This record gives sequence, C-alpha cells and structure tokens, in this order.
Amino acid sequence: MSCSVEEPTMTVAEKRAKSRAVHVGFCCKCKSEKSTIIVRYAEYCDPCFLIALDSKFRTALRNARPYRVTNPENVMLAFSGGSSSRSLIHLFDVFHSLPPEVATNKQQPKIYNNIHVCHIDESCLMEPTQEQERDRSSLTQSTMEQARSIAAAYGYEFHGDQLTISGQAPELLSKILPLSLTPSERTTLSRQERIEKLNALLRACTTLTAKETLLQHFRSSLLVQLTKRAQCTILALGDSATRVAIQIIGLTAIGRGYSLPHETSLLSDWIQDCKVIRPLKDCLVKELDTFCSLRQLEMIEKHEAQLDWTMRTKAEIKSIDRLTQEFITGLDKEFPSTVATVCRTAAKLTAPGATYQDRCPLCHGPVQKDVQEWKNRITVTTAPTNHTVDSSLGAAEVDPGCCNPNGASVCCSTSSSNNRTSNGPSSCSPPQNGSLATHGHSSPDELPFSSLLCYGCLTNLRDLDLKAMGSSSSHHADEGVSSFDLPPYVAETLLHRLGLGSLEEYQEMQFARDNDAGRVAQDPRESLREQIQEFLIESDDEDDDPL
Amino acid sequence: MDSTSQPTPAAAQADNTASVDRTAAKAAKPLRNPCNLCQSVRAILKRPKTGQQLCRECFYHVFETEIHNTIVDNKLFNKGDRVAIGASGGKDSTVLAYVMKLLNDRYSYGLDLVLLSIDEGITGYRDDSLETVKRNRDQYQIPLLIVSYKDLYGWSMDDIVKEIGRKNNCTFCGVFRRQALDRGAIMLNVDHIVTGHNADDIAETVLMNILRGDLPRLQRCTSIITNDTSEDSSGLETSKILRSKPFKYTYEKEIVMYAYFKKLDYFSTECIYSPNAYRGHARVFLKDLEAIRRTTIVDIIHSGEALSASVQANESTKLPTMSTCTRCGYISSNELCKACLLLEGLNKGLPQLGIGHTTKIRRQHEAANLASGLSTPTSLSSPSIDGSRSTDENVKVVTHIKDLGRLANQPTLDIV
Repeated sequence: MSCSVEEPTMTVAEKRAKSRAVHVGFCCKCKSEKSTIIVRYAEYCDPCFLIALDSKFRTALRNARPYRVTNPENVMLAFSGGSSSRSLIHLFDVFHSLPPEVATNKQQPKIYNNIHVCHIDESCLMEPTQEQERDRSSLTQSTMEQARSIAAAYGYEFHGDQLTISGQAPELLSKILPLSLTPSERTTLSRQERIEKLNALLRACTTLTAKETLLQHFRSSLLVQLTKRAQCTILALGDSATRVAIQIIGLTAIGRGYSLPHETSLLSDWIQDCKVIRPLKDCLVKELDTFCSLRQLEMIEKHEAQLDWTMRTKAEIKSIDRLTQEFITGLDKEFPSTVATVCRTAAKLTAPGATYQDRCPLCHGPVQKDVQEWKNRITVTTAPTNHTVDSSLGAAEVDPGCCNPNGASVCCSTSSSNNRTSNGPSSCSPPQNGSLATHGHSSPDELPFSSLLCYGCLTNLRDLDLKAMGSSSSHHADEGVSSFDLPPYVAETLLHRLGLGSLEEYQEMQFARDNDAGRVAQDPRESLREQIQEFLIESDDEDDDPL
Repeated sequence: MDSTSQPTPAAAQADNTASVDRTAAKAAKPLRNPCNLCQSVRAILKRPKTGQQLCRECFYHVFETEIHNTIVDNKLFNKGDRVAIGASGGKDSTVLAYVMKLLNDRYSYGLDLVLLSIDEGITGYRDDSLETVKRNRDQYQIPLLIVSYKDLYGWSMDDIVKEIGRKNNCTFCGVFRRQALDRGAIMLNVDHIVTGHNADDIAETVLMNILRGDLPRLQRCTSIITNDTSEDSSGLETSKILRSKPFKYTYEKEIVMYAYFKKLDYFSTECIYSPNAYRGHARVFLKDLEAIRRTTIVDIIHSGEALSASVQANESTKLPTMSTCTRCGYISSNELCKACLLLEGLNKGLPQLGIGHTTKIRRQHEAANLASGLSTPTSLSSPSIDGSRSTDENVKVVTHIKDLGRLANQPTLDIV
C-alpha cells in the first residue's frame, strides 16, 4: 500500500505549450489564422492541421519502412469502416499519387506496388433491429457493398467476399468451418450454418471479454489470410494512438504482455511473409475524426460488431477492453499526455525472441514455456493432503484458475462433429458436465490443445462454458454433443506444430500408440469422468453467492 | 482479549467446527454446498482468486502453500538467515508476520525472524498502528525494533506536513521510509527484509509504470527480490541486504479474508495524509478490472514479467550508475541522495527543493557547496522562512551509514 512518490512530470508537449501561450487563439504553425482545432496543447487552423497530419503519417510510414526500396511490395489496407481506417485509405492515396512530373520519371521507383483494400463484414453479429426480430429471415444490412464502393472510388482492388467459397458469406464466417475430413464437406455448409457455428462459439463465452478477445483473434487471422491471398506482403492497420494505448493497457490486463510488442508496434515482422504496419499510431483518434470530417470522407456508420447485446445480464456488459477504453479516455482528459506516454513506453519494448513456428494455435502469437506450471504454482487448487479423497484427484481436479493439465490432452478434436475445446471450467460455472457426459464414444482424432496455447488464450478460454453450449444447441435435435467449432486455421496450426501433415496422420499415430500401450479396454472419457465424478454438480445446485 | 493470545491451528480448527455446527442448522441437508477441494466440509467462502467455494481449512491450506511455493521457487532465503519483517501494523504486514512465523516452523526454513517498524510520526495513524505491532510482537513472539523519522532525520511527518502542507508530502514519506527501513535493517544486522506488498500492489505498479512511461521501473517492479546494488560491488552496508515480497502473488482480498478468519489483530485505517490522485485512478481501474475477471491481477503480473524481459533487451534504458551519497553514505545516483536533498530543503525552509525535476537544483547545490563547503546549513544563501528551523541545534545531522553499526542491544521479547 505505498503511495506514489512521483507525480507525472511535465512533458515536452506541455512545455512547448507554455512557450506557445503567446499565440493563444491562433494557429501555432502559420500564426496568422485563427485556430479551429486543438490537439493536446497545440492549436491549428484547418489547412495547417491537414498538413501536419499528412506529414505525421509520412514520417510514420518512412519509419515503418524505408523509402529506398529495390522491389516495391503490395500493401493491403485493412478497412473496417471507421474513421481511423478511413483516414488510412485517404492518406495512403495522397501519399501514393505522385505528382505528374515525378510519376513520369522512370528512374523513380514506386515505393508500394499495388494498394489493396480489404474489409471484414461483421453485420451478422450486430444487434438485430426490431424489424428483424419479427422477421427472422432478414439479415442486418451487409457492410460489404459500402466498403467496396469506397475502395472503388480510389481505384483500389477490393477484397472481402471474393475468397469465400459460397461467394456470399462474409469472410469471417467461412473461417469458422471446422477442418473437415474431406474437402468436399467444407462446401456443404450454408451461410446460415456458418453463422450459427460462430454464434454457438460466442454463446459459449460467459464473458464479453472472452467474446471480444476471441473475435479479435479471428479478425486478425482473417486479415493476414486476406493479405497473403492477395499477394500482398504488407498489412497496414489503421490503429490510432488512442487505440494503441488502449490496446497496451488492455493486453496487459488480459495477460498478453508477451505478445504486446508485436501487437502494438509500428512495424511487426512476427508473422511470416506478412509485415504488419500501423502508420497512424502517432495520431489521436480525435485528429482522425477531424480529418475525416474536414475531408468529408464517407464512412460506414455501423461497421463494428458490438457484442454487448448478446449478454444476458447487465453485470456482464463491461469487458476489459471497454473498461480500458473508458479509463484511458478519461485519464487523457485530465492528463492529456497519457496516450502519448503509454504509446512511447510500449514503442521502446523489444519483441520477445520466440519463433513463429511455435505460435499459439488460436491467436498466432508467441508462446512462453511452462505457463501452466507457473499458474499451478501461484494458484494452488489441491486439497490439503490429509483431506484428499483420492490422490489422483489432484491431477484431474478441476482447476478454475486455468486449464487443468488434463484438459490439455482432452482438447480440440477436429472432426466436423466434435471439434471442441475442453478446459477447466470457469469457477462460477459448474464443471464441464455437459461435454464430458454427453460425449459417448472414444474419438481418436483429438489433438493436444491447451498445452500449446499461449498464456493469454489459456486464460481467455476459461470463460468458455461448455455446458451452456450443450443446452443452447440442444434445440437442434441433430446435435447431441455439446461441442463447438473453431476456425480451421486453429487445427492447421496445431497439426503444423506437432509436425504432422494431416489429421489422418495424427489419427494413425494415435492409433499406433494406443495399440502399443495395449490399453483400449476402457473408454478413456469414462475413466476421466469417473475420476472427476465428485466434481460434477447437478445444474440446479448453482450456489454462486459471494461470501 | 481474544486477539492477544496467539491463534493456533488447533484453535482455528475449533472455530471451524463451531461454524459448521452453526450453519448446519440453517442448511437442511448438511454438505449441500461442499468445499470444492476437500468435499468433506461445507464451503464457507468464495475464493477471490479463483471463485472456488472453499472451507476454512482448505482456504488456509491454499493460501499458505502458495506463499510457500513463492518462497521456495524463488529461493528467497537461506537456512540461518536473519530476516526482518517490515511491519506497519496494517493487514498485509500483520498477516505476513503471522504466515512467516507459521511457515518457518512448518517447513523448517531455519530463519531468525525480527519485526522492524518505522515510526513516521503521524499522530492518529502511526501511533495507533504501532500499538498493534507491539501486540503482534507479543502474540507471535517475534522481537521488534521501531525506528522513527524523528530520530533518524530530526523531522516527523507531522512536522513536515506543518511545514510544506498536504501536497507532495508522500514524496518525503516514501523516500524517508525506504532509507529508514535499510537503516533499521543495518541496526538489526539482518540479511533480508520482507515487506507485505501484495499482488494488487504489484499489478497496480505495473500499470502505473506503463502509464508513466517509466521503463526502468517497469523492468524492476515485477522482480520479487530487489536489491539496490545488485550490480554494485562497492561493499556498502546496504548492498548485502536483500528485499523481497513473499505476497507477490497473494490477492489483497485474500489477505483480508485470512486475517478475518484467523482473527488476526491488525490496524485498518488509511494514512491521513495519503490520497494521491494519479495513483488512485490506477487503483480504481484495477479494482474494476478484477470485478470483470478475477484473474486479472495475476494476468497483469504475468504480463509485467514478460514486459520486464522485453525491456531488458533494450540497451537504451540502462539504469544510472550508482554511487553513494557524500553526506549519509546511502546508495544514490547523485552526489546527494534524495533523502538528504529533501532534508536540506526542509532544514533551509525551502521544502520544494528536491520535488519534481531536481537536476537544476542539484547543480546549483553543488556549485554552492564548492563555494562554501559541505553541510553548512547557511551555505545556500536563502532567507529562512521559519527562523527556528535553520538554527544549528534544531538540525539533525543524519548518521552516516558507515557509522550506523549494529545495535549493541538487539531487541528481544523482554522489552515492554
């Protein structure tokens, strides 16, 4: 309980503001026009503001990637529809349209070869309006056409729906397909089924934080896939300084400090063959909003899925990201240097020396060793020895702090019928009764899952409630098992990390090992269930009162 | 008085049985809600760290074992170490003293424990809490030494606040306390100081350091053992004394819970001069985060540890080279340590000296020293605001670390 020894000290910006004080009310650049915009401590008139923002963008772009390049690369601009990514497209366009006298000069190589724009349509996750509630068949207006027309106005190649198999389904959903055993199965799922699979997975998340985090992983994975398929080697994100600062605190809070440098840096070369740049990370969101309105740029009004409508109770509505956003914006009002300071702090961090080969299957971030061990040491979940009913219980015991070690071997089967994630159930929900009990037969096609996850994903999956899954999907008569599907990239990464080419190869290996061990007598799931029998509370016994 | 007798496991067991009897009447079916771990006793609490429903004994078990794991995994102590427990009388340090004693006996660490308290001289706060520490000394049978600001520096916090007002006084208190602990430790001839900083404090510090952009501190704040001079081989007295935080992974709420169920005797009033706006924001934010996801505190510490490694690789954030203060011999990166600089300001009636950016002031000070010699109270020609303060007799000269030998009479339990 120490009190702070130091107050935040005066920053350079604050000092500059003092020296500028003589020009109050006037633009700090031209000093002749009345100021119209105040950014932190500096006042600008409209023209000077636009010049300043443009040069800020160019500086960042140059820092991210030197201008002197021998072979120009293709760049993919991620466009969500909001003001930041909208500014990104426009600024890139201004940057890339060379003045005619330069353009004709053949000596001058282009810095970027082709510019592509991609958009992920999330309309299926948006809150249905009352009209749609009545008529279940109509879906929320797709944002795809709007995004396409914006990209077309610049003459950029647009990606978004072309890569889906059906040609209609939003890209995000096509990736929630399980890794099918045969390629033909992939095409059999309709758009509606894909939406249902995504919704089922999100329904299993008991917290908004888990939903948002999972969705964010899918989003970034998709962006990278789109980038690679369009033959681009650079993915440019429109993350503003405000967004990056929120990310830095938010990622810290959800235990993702290890991958934080990759996820917030100006240039990250973590992902193989796809550099990620954030050229707007020096611009406040307020500046970009102003930019969009000054330039009268068209945006997509409702573009990002807000998931809070999916939560049943008021208590669950806040997510860590949402809370962090309020915290940072609130603090920034009182201490206007907050965002810049936080960004500068993270910019000085060096990315960890992990290898891309060992990436986390779910978020594709770097993975630290022995995170499960670390968790087990600092959060003890075994009974005192004199109380222990059964010593083997210790291992199989339900660990609400994290995925239990046993969960590691049970997880993520990848057949289309039971691609599921098993982990220690979150503490307030009863143990994974549903998943263990309802699963009848032994399936040899499971992959180790949680043992390969990074700390952040391990923590996040705690908030997945398999039992809720079971009950919500029970009205689909054909679905007897409580399971949910993860995108195929998860299974692909898993196999890759295990050094296997295909799922069949893994099954063969499993089969051979089982035979060697000579123990096929009992259904392994049954024996597991027996071990944890005592922990399986009946559902009506949910006494969740705090002390 | 119930709390004056040392709570023993047997007594706790008796309490436990009693509580089961009490609750048995309420619950028609016994064990309707059994402890998630032992399954044999009704759960009486929901564990803040995990949300598990536990019985009293299992809670004690996991709480103590986690601290034991932390101590063992980080190899905090060697057998035979003399360890000072920084004791304020608050919940953290009271539980720390109790648990250290308990684990030392249970796992035979072979530690020689001693309580060390700092008397900042805050009427209505510290005087009362020190009474608690004295009771703890008797309850746990651990000797106690109290070191006061007044004795060390000639100023109590009450005096300082009278002089400088409510603003910035935490700067004085923090700087002085840190040094006072080290001075006390030297007097006690200990190898190690343990403090009651808990997981919440550490998570909060991680957030604060990110918000403030303080990379060197971000790097250090998650390490469980801190030693001022780990890279320094000057053989200073302070450099041998390690500091550690056995509660690094222990939730504040669980400490309170433990103290509550064990009926430990602690003092629970916030410092009357304390509240700090900026840090307050971070604390509120952390509590909100914890409400959303209870593992957040551990997650932030995990992130902090990872970030700390990321800082390490960066060459540009090296710490300043450490030397010793020319006046008191304490570790310092400048000619004068922060405490001496602050004291200088107080003694001269210039309390703002040493607050905020000190580079300029230090330079002026050094120039003045060159002209008129060191530690003459009138060396900085400044009109004294409070005449009585600047007279020589009222100015306490801080004892040089080298002259601060170990106490001839080490505190024992006999002192009343």
